[in-house]
Formats: sequence, C-alpha cells, structure tokens
Amino acid sequence: MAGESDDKTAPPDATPPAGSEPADTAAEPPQPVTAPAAETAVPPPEVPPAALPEEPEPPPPPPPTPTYLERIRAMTYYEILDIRRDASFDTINQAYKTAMQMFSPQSIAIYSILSSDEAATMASQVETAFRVLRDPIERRKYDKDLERSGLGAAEPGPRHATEGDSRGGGTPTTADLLLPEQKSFAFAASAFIIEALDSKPPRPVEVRAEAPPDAPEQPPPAAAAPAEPPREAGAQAAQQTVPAEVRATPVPADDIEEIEQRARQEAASPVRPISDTDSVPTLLPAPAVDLNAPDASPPPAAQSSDEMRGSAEAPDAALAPPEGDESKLGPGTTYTGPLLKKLRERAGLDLHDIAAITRITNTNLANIEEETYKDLPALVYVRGYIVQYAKCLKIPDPAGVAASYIERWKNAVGEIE
Amino acid sequence: MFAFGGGKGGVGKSFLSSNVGIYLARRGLRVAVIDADLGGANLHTFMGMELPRTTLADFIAHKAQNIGDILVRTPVENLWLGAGVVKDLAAPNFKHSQKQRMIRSFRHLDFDAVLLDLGAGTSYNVLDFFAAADCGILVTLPEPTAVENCYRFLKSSFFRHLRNEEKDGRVKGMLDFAMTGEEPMRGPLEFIGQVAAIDRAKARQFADELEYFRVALIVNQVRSAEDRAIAPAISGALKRFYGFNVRPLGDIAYDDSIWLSVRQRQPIMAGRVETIAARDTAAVGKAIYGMVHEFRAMR
Ligand SMILES: Nc1ncnc2c1ncn2[C@@H]1O[C@H](COP(=O)(O)OP(=O)(O)OP(=O)(O)O)[C@@H](O)[C@H]1O
Ligand SMILES: [Mg+2]
Repeated sequence: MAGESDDKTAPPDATPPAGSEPADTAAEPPQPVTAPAAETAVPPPEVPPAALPEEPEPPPPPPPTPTYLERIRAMTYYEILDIRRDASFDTINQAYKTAMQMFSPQSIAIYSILSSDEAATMASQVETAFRVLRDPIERRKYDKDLERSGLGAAEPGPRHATEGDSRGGGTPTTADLLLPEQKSFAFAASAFIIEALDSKPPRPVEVRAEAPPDAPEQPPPAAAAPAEPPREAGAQAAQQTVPAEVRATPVPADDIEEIEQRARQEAASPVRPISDTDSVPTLLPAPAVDLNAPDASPPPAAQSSDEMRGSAEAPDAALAPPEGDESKLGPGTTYTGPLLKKLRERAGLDLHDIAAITRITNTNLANIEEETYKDLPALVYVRGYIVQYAKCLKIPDPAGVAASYIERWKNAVGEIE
Repeated sequence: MFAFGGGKGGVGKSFLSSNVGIYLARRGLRVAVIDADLGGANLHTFMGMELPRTTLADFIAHKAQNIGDILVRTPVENLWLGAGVVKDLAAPNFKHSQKQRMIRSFRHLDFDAVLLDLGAGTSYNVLDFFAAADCGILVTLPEPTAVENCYRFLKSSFFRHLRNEEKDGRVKGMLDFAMTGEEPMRGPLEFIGQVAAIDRAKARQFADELEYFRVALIVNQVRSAEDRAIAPAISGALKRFYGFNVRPLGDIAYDDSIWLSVRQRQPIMAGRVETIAARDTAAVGKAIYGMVHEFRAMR
C-alpha cells in the first residue's frame, strides 16, 4: 500500500550532491556538525512531509543531514576494505579487488546508495587503505595510530592520522553520532564476507536475539518428530490434486548429489569474481624491498650464520656480502633461511608480525628461517609459506624465492640421505 | 522460517521458493512452502499442481484454525504446499490482527523448514512477513532497478520491524519519517545515530536488532562473470553503508530451461536436473539446508 514507492523513480542521488559539497571541506577545519547547510537541508521541499505533522509528538530537533562523505572519512582502513584487524595478506588482496569492483563507476551495487562524488571518494580511500595495509610496516604504524586514538575509529581524513591530528574538538563525524558499540559491531558484522574470503566454514547464523513474545512455545526439533502428515484433512485433499506426470519424475537422490558435485566445481571455477590468491594485485605497482629503509632495525648480520645448517652453501648466499649489495636481490640470489630472516629484520618486523599477516605459525616461520627442515611440513606447504613470506616482505618474484629456498632444501636433504 | 522477498516483481521469488523447497525435501527435510503472495498466488502452478481445495483463504476466513490445516501434500515426498489466495480480493487488505495471527501460525508449524513466497512490492504485509522470518532471503536481478528496489525493501522491512515493537511516539514518528521521506534519512545507521541523540539505550537496542536482522541474498538471472560479482558487492555495500549483515547464498544463471519448466508446469528440480539452473538452484538450496541446521543447533 503506502510503501509502494517503487513506481516513484526519483533519481536517488538527486539531493545528496548538493548537501555533500560543504562536507568536502569538513575534514580540514573543525566544523560543527550542525553546519548551516545541514540545518537548512532538513525540510527539503521535495520530501513529502506527510508523516511528520500528523504525529502527536513531534520528532526531536532536526538531526544533521548525514552525508556519506563524512562517514567515509570516518571509516578505518579496515572498515573501508571490510576486513578484520587480523586479516591476512591474501584477504586484504581479495577484499581490495572486491572493493574496487564495488566502487567502480559502473557498479550497480552502490549507485543508489552513493553519489558519484561519494563513490569516487570511496574508491580513492580503498586505494589508500590497500596501499597502507598491504605494507607491513605502514600497516603496523597505522594500527598503532588506531590504538592510540581509542576505539579504532580513524580521524576524518585517516590518511593524515599519523601526526598532529586535530582529534580533540575535531569535526564530529557520522561515526561519532553513532554509539561506540556500533563502531565495533561494524567489525563484527563483516564476518560473513570475511568468511567468504577466507573460505572457512561459515559462522553459525544466530537466531534473532529473543523469541517472539507471541510464540512462547517453540516447535520441538523436527528431527525428533515422526515424518507424518501435518493434518489429515489437508493430506487427503492434496492427493487428488497431484498431476500424474509430475509424480512420475521425482528427483533421484543421486541426481542431487550430482548437481551438487557440479555446483562445487562451478564454485571453484574462475568465474568467481575473486581471483586466484597467488596473484599479486596488478592495480598498484609492488614496491621492491627498501633495504636501506631508515627506520629498519640494525642488521644483526652475524647472528644467524652460526645457526645455519647447510653451511656448505653459505658462502653463496646473499647473506655474506655487505648491506648495500643486497639490493641486488634477483634471479641469481639463493634465498636461505638466514637471508629471509635478515630481510625481515631489516624491514623492522618480528616473527609475530609475519605470523599475524600471513597466518603462518611462528614455529613454522622460525623453522623456515633456521632451516630446520625436519620440522617443516610437506614441501608444497612450505612453498606456499615462502611465497607468502616473500610477498609480505615485498621481495620481488615470491615464486622465485620459494623455488630457490626449496632447491636448497632438496639439496641439503639429498646430501644427508 | 525463510521468506523470499525483494521488492521487485518477476525476479524469481516463486521459482526459487518452490524449487528450493523441492531440494530441501529431497535432502530429507520436512518442508512447507507457503504462498504468502496474497492476491497474486501462483505457487501451486510452480509446483505443477492445480489450485488445491484448501488454501490460505480458508485460514483467513477462520474456516481453518491453523495454517497446518490447509497444507496439502505435493508430488515430492516430505514437501507440503500452503496455497495462496487467488480470487479473494478482500484478502490483501486484511487487518493487522489477522496478519499477526497468520505469522503466529507460521511459527507454530511443525516443519524443518517453512518457506514463504512473498509478493512483489513493499506493502506492509510483505514487509512484516519478511521481517518475521528467521532469515529473510532477498531475491534480485543484476539490474540497477532491481537492486535499488531491493535496498529500499530491506530498509523498509527493518524499519517496519522496529516500528511494530515500538511504544515511544517520538521514535515512532522518526520511523515513519524514515520510511516515507527518502531524504535525509538514508539508512539504519544514520537512523540509529539520530535515535542515540534522544535515547541511547534505545539506540543500542536498535543496533542489536540490526545486527541480528538476518538477511541472505540470491542474485537471479546472472549472465556473465561480472554479474556474479554483484552479490558480494551488494552485501559489501549494505554492510558498509546500512549496517546489514547479508549472506550471499549464490547466483542463479539465466537459463531458458527455467522459463520452459514454468511453462510446462514441471518444476526444474523435479525434472531437468541436468540444467545449469538446477545446478545453481541446488547450490543455493544447499546453503539454505546449512542454515536450517544452524538454526536448529541454536535452539
Ligand atoms: N534464472 C532464470 N532464467 C530464466 N528465466 C527465469 C529465471 N528466473 C525466473 N525466470 C522467469 O521469470 C518468471 C518470473 O519468475 P517468478 O514468478 O518466480 O517471479 P516472482 O518474483 O515470484 O514474481 P512476482 O513478484 O510476480 O510473484 C518465471 O516465470 C520464469 O519464467
Ligand atoms: Mg511470485
């Protein structure tokens, strides 16, 4: 009835752009949220004010008109990409691709929610979020900033959240209007997507919090109920209405299995939007490791070499040459465990950081670095680990790094046997 | 209880509820599919059946006390049909108390799964049925208008859900305004933010309602890989800007065999199981089968 607003095809973004212009500047100077623009926008002439005057009690003072630009600026990078704080490197990659599609100008999923301005802002925030979160060092810095700022909600203009933030007395954002709990529930709510991305078994769907007041007695679990018709009368009536030809062709259970089988194959096929996890996103150039990064921890060069087991090959390893030469990392490099360790330390990361990003256990990482081959899992896993590890450190050609490491491993094992 | 809705007409709600019903029954669940499209009933046709002697009209006219009394057996074992109201023109405007009675009776059905096939549009009946389900299943097409309607449908259903329980006149007024005026209220999060300004406890309660407002999504009639990217985009957008948790259940390919099966009045899951449509429907059915078990485990 009344809600049949379907027919009314007023362009959904007719009003927002006007209201959102002033918000564009809101990120910089502390500006009260009840900006004049918002105030005047509340009773827009186009909106049929039918429901309002009829209410016996008038609604509270006109709330500020929220624009999604404010919200977008208030979102953390994790919210922008809709990922958890502990999202793995691959999850970030996939979330980035999904988000880029979502906020592209052709996307039909957002055109009725966001104005083109807002979509463009969102797309650029997605880029920024990805650039920061894919980089372990930047990400750690950003995480620290989030922690420092309390709940994890970034300032408006999170890209500048690092220093000199105008946080106290800053612009109240849409997020500030929301409850603190909501900010965290925004994270919790992302579970579905994350699970899809991580391809883990889905979290159980929870039934609505409380039982409806009018249905105090829940039906017993149906599994326990005998398979009998619900009501006799209806059952008999039905028998007569069943057309014969339909009755003749029930689905055999095998067919169900078969179509499920095919569905499974389909699900695994590349038609899915999220592509192979191994591919490094091409939309942004992958920066090479900056071995001379100023904030890297001091190179503990000597420390690892005594721990090396395959010491026969140690001289070839890139560990030996002085620091500057490591920028020559490339096809000829032999990637030993100690070299990986050194590169990691250069990047200012400890094992926990890598573990958090890659979801590879500390133990396995340590075994890789120390080349404790006997404690490592099957070769195929280790290859995957090294690729992850290398991506995380942004060593060029992760697959090559893995191949090199494994080559060495095979040789070492071969020598022992 | 699952309700298939989505605002727009002809998106495949009836096709999906009937065929998912068949799938679940074939998996051994006891299933009732109910035509809650009051006025535009056609679910029996999707099942390849004539209009049964007993329908929801009998329940509405108090000729039957329970929905269970009007259910009829279908050709598929374990599957029952609650046929809809075809000719009773008065039925769609039935009163709030009658709707409550109907929802109560849906809930009391002793089945593993109850699937409601809702009508098109955003009438209060449809919105309330959708919100009353344990999980509302949005059906949409990879088309701008269908997606837009689907968003509006979801928001309206959520606001209706809040309003049905609401006592405070001020909050009711805000909800009405949220539902009728398109701007400036754009979504539940903004709404909750505004409620927080006058009543924090209420806002917190609404935020909980939003989090537990279980919604799933099926994109029907997909024709390309780009189309298959739409479901995650929709759920991602609904999450980021409206705060809804929407679980994508899968896509259904556009497939002429669906059209043919409807025309031949033989449900695709009861015949042409080799088709792409059947395969996709089975995948969606399987996801719903999983949810049935999740719900049961929570009880
Ligand atoms: N995946 C598909 N491929 C091809 N045709 C389809 C597909 N899904 C649905 N159709 C066609 O669309 C028609 C409408 O579907 P259906 O009646 O299920 O929609 P509905 O949402 O229930 O509509 P209403 O809102 O009017 O009740 C069907 O008759 C069928 O022919
Ligand atoms: Mg229908």
